[in-house]
This record gives sequence, C-alpha cells and structure tokens, in this order.
Amino acid sequence: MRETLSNFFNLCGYILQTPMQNTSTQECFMHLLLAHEAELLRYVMVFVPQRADARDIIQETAVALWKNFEGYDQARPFVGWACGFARVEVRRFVRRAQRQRALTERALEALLGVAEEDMEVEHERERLLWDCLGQMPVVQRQLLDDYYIHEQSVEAIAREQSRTVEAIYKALQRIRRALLDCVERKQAEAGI
Amino acid sequence: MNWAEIGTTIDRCIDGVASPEEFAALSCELEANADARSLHLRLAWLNATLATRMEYAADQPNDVRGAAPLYLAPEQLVKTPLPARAVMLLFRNRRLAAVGVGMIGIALLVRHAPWIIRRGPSEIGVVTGAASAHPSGAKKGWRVGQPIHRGWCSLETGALELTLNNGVRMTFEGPGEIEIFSPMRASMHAGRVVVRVPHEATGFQLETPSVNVVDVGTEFAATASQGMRTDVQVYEGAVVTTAKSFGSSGGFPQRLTEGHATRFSPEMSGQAQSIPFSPDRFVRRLPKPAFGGGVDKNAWNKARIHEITITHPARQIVVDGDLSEWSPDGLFRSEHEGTQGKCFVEGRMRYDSTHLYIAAHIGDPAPMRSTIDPSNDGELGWNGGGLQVRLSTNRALGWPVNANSELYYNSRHLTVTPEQLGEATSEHLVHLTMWHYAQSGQNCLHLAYGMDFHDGIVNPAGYEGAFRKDSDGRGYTLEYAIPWTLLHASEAPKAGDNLAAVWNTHWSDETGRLWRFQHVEIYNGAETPGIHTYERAAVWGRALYR
Repeated sequence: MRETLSNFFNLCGYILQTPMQNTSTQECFMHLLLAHEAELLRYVMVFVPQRADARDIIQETAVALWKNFEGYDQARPFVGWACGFARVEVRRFVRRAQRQRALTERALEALLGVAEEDMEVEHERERLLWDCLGQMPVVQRQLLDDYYIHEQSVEAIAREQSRTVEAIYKALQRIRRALLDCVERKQAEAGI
Repeated sequence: MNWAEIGTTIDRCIDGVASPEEFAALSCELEANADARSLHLRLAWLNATLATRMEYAADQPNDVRGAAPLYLAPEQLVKTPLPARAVMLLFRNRRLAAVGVGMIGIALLVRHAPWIIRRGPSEIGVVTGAASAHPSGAKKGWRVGQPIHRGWCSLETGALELTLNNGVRMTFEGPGEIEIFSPMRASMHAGRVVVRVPHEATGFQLETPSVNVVDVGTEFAATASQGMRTDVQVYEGAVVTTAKSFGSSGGFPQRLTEGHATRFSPEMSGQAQSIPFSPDRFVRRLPKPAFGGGVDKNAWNKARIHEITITHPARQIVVDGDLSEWSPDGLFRSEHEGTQGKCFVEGRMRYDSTHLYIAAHIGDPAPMRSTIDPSNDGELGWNGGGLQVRLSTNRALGWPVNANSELYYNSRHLTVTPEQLGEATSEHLVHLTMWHYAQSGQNCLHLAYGMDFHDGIVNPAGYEGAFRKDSDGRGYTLEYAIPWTLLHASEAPKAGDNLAAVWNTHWSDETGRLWRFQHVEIYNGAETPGIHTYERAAVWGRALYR
C-alpha cells in the first residue's frame, strides 16, 4: 500500500531529476503549488473525502502538473488549470478503487458534472462558514479542532471523552449538518 | 433509499465508515437523483473545507476572515520566506539540494523565521527541555514551558526536548528543522531527532526526505543530512521504515528492531543499508548545563582579521600537537567572551612543496570532547567542536574568489545561471574540517570540494593530525599536515601567491555534542559581515604565501 504521508519530497526528487527546466521555472511552479496546495486538496476531497487518499491523489496531480507546466498559461488562474489534472487523477483513483470503499465511476462522473463552481462564490461560502464556526458552542468547536486540525482519530477522541465511537461520528455529522444549514441560511439572506 | 437514509449514508461515506454495499447504494442514488448529488457535494465541500482550511482560518480575526480569501496569493508568497521544503524543491541539482537542506536551518529559515510558525489555534505540546537551543537572528532562545503549535521548528544551535500532548517526546538536535503536523506526525528536513513514543501513541510517523518511519512502540532516532541521507537507529522496540524511491512509488516497508541501524539515501533506489548501531550517536536526554545553560547571543564573532601570511616552516614540523617548532610568523589571535567564559583561537599556517600545515591553539572550557563519529557523521565534524579551514589551491581562481553555493542564490531569491553554478564546483575550493573524536581518540579530517561540497571524504590516507589538551584543561592544540594532492592542488603555491582562505573555529557544549558558536577569521573585509563562509567564497580572506 502506498504511503499516505505527505509526499512532497517524492515530487521534489522528481523535479530535481528533471533536467530540462531552469531554476526560475521550478521556483515559479513551486510557489504556485505551495500557494494552492490546500485549495487543491479541498477540491480533491470533495470527491474522495478520505484525507490520506486525497493526499496521494494530490501527489500524482503535482507530478502531472510539473510534467505539463510548460503548457501552463500564466494569465489563467492556476487552481482552475490544476483542478483539470486533479480530476484526471480522481477518476484514476476511483477506477482503481472499484470494489472497495468508493463511489462508482458513473456516480463520480455525475458529481463532476455538477461540481463546477464560481471561485468567488466558493470564497464567499467559506467566509460564511467561518462566521458560523465562530458562533458554535465551545464543546462542538473543540471536537472539530480535534478531528480536523489535530487529525485525531475518532477512536482516540472517543477514548478521551469516554464515549462510543459511534457517538462521536454522530456528533460530527450533526455538527456538519448544523454548519451547512447555517451557511445556507446566511447565503439565502445575502442573496448569494 | 429515503431522504434520511441518503443523508446518513453520505455522512458515513465522508467519514470513511460506510460499507462497500452502502457505497454502491449511494452511487446508484447519485447517478439518478439530482437532489442527492447536490446534498453530497455540499456536505463533501463542508468536510473538505474544514479539513483543509480550518487551520488557516483559525488564526484569522473575524474581520480579516471576511475580507479576503484565506490563502496567500502567489505574488504574496514570492515575498514570503519559503519553508525549507520549498527551497529544496527549487534546487535543480539533487546533490546541491541535499547540501542546501543540510544547511537550511542555519542559512535561511533561521534567518527569516526561527520560531515555530503558528498555524493552528491549539497547542499540541510544550518545550520540556532546552540546551543551548537558539535560532540566530532571534533575540531569545527557546525556553522551557514554551507552547508548541503545529508548524515549523528550526534550530541553529543546541537541542530541544519537545513533548507532545499524546506523550510523544522528541529530542531535536540542530542545526536543522522539523515540521510538526500533529501529535502523531512530523517531518524532519534537516537535523537529528530521538523520538520516544508511549504505548498510547503507537503509530507515530516521522518523515524525512528519504524515508518514512512508523513507530510500533519504541524509542528510535533519525537523521536528515547531506545527500538526502537518513540514518534510522532503534533504541527500544521496533519501527517500520519505508524508503522513498524518487520518482516512483517507494520502497518496500521493512521492520527495524532494537539495537539495529539502517541508512537510506536516494542513490539506493529504495534499498536500505545496514550500518553499525552506535548508542552514543544521538542525544537521547538533554545534558544538564555545566555552564549555566545560558545561550550566547551571538552565534559568531565580528571578524577582525582579513588576511593570513603563510610562510615556509623555519624548522621541520613534527605533527605531535607540540607547536614549539613553529615560529610566531603569521600568528593571529581572536577572542570571545561567552557564557562559558573566555574562548580564543590562535592560528598559524605553513607550506612547503608537499604539504600544507595548520596549527591552532584553541581556548575551550570543554576541550576535545567531540562525540561526532567520523564513520557516520563526518560532514558534521565541526558540530562537536573543532576547526574548519576553507581555501583555494589554484592561483587561477584569483582573489576574491567568485563562487557561490546554490543555496546562496536561492536564499536571497537571486537568479542563478547554470554557468555560475558550474564555476562554483571547482575542485580547487576545499573545505577542511578537523576534530578529535573523543571515543576512539582519532584526530579526524573531513574534506569536501567546491561550493557544492562534492566528493566528501573522511580521514583520507596521507594526512597527519594531532591534538593535545592544555595542562589546565581549558584548551587544546591541534596540528595537521595535509598533502597538497589531497587538496587537489596541481602544484604547491609559490611565494608571492595571494590565494583565499578562511577559518571557522567551533565550540560545542560540555558534552561535545551540541554546537554553541563559532569564530570566523580571515574574512574579506570588503564583504558584508555575517555571510556564511560555506555559501560564498568571496568572503574568504587573503592567504598570502611568502
């Protein structure tokens, strides 16, 4: 099984072994990649929610981006260009993952077909999400911190809180649903 | 599926706990049901945003959050000091990249961002020990009790003990840098670390440029050093190591058990090489400071001497650590009053048709205690105290020598051409490191060539070296004779030659393990002070052969 740790150094090795690009090109590429790494990861996680899998996909995407970087038009947004390559890698992942815990290729295509979104709208939604997070009770916020920032497993959180694993999953799901309701309510109020 | 079941199944898929049957059922719904697709995308977006953006948002005040996207635009990032991994990615030559990473803690990050960069709202641990731990350019050293946040930690000198919330204890030794992602995961880009993992935190992962290490209940140590080389050594229990094979999918996981050590490097293509287990190689427990534990504010002096006169020996030199046959010609002295008390170096050089001779008397309250094992860490020989001399051996290079390491350009965001880098690889630019390895009593010499430090070799045949401790135990004398052939000189210098040379004298702590500070002398006074001598040969002073 492939390692799920962040594999930027594999990419590093790949880039360093590629003789045709000059240093300034590499510098430009890395600036763009590092600046948008989190955004790319988010894009991938919409279709492949497990962080470890998504990181593997990002690794493959980064290699593809580097191979094709000469064709990148710097007048265009990097994220949009990069997401095209990420989609290819997501499809490849889902194809490989069939008969395991993943959506079918057809379901994925159905999601990809409707997932195009205006970046401005996405940023606005994100801003609303932080507003909603700010209104959240401390206990719920702590659970989100443990799970999403500290990447603690649900099992570990359950142990810490002397609760069952299922109860923690349920709590996370309830919090996410409440946040989504909050964001969409604010969106409607703002007419977005 | 009814609507409630669809929602629940989406949640379970997002959390990775759905069965294959649930994935299949949800897939059918997504193919046929637009509302299901919409809900899935909205919930998945929320989950993805929390997972990838929450840590960035957490540090932003509300008004800032609302004003702009939370990531840095590329043009902003260009002006921001890059973390070492990014800088490393910029190097075209892999060997240079490795050298760059090896020095990055001193040269770049420490200069710009020596403290852990706060990325999350919560502390994930605390500094539980600090020994001479200091980043240059910062007013204060690390202090015990200082909280640890997710992000980068860099050290120029000394060592830190970091205890994470889950009980994982890391003794991190500089110079180097480590990025802590979570209490269960860290990535070390340069330096050395000993990790002790309690039972509850089994599975802790440490990444280096060439290997991933997963703890399975143990105390282990790792290095990240030149050539993207990593050594892993297990003190207790076991780890699983997976070599990174650059450009492919990686090596096969291997179990490494107590009392064993293994080396990984990109050249090995995923294969590990067994190396001797060396129990004293790493700092497992921070030493109690015999010198009061203070941190020297300045990791180096202000150079006052800009040239050295090198003459023929008046009498035949016998390499025995007794300098009575050396005349005072060309002697220089440099002093430093630090937390350890007075430290000084008195240096001289001689030459003849076959050898270069180097002699130094060094005032050091912890003399000749270096624990740097030449068989494992020759390129770090200076770390435990000793002398480095860098010089040119070809008059065609002139003075000052126009040669910079790739790190010099990248750390200053300067454009560099392949021609400039090519010129810097001259084998006539030589870096000598001399130290006494206390455990074996060896008087060691490490040589590397060019500003890319290629062809590093330790204790090569042909040189002679001697150390002698002062009778009062407050210093030592070193004396070396090195054939010009080892210095890649096509011929010995002639009287009247003006070549380049610089001296770096290093002091360690009382354990002979942790670097404290250095003196730089024979420094080109026309150059900006404080440029690292390994980065830029133009800062090397004048060596007047007479």
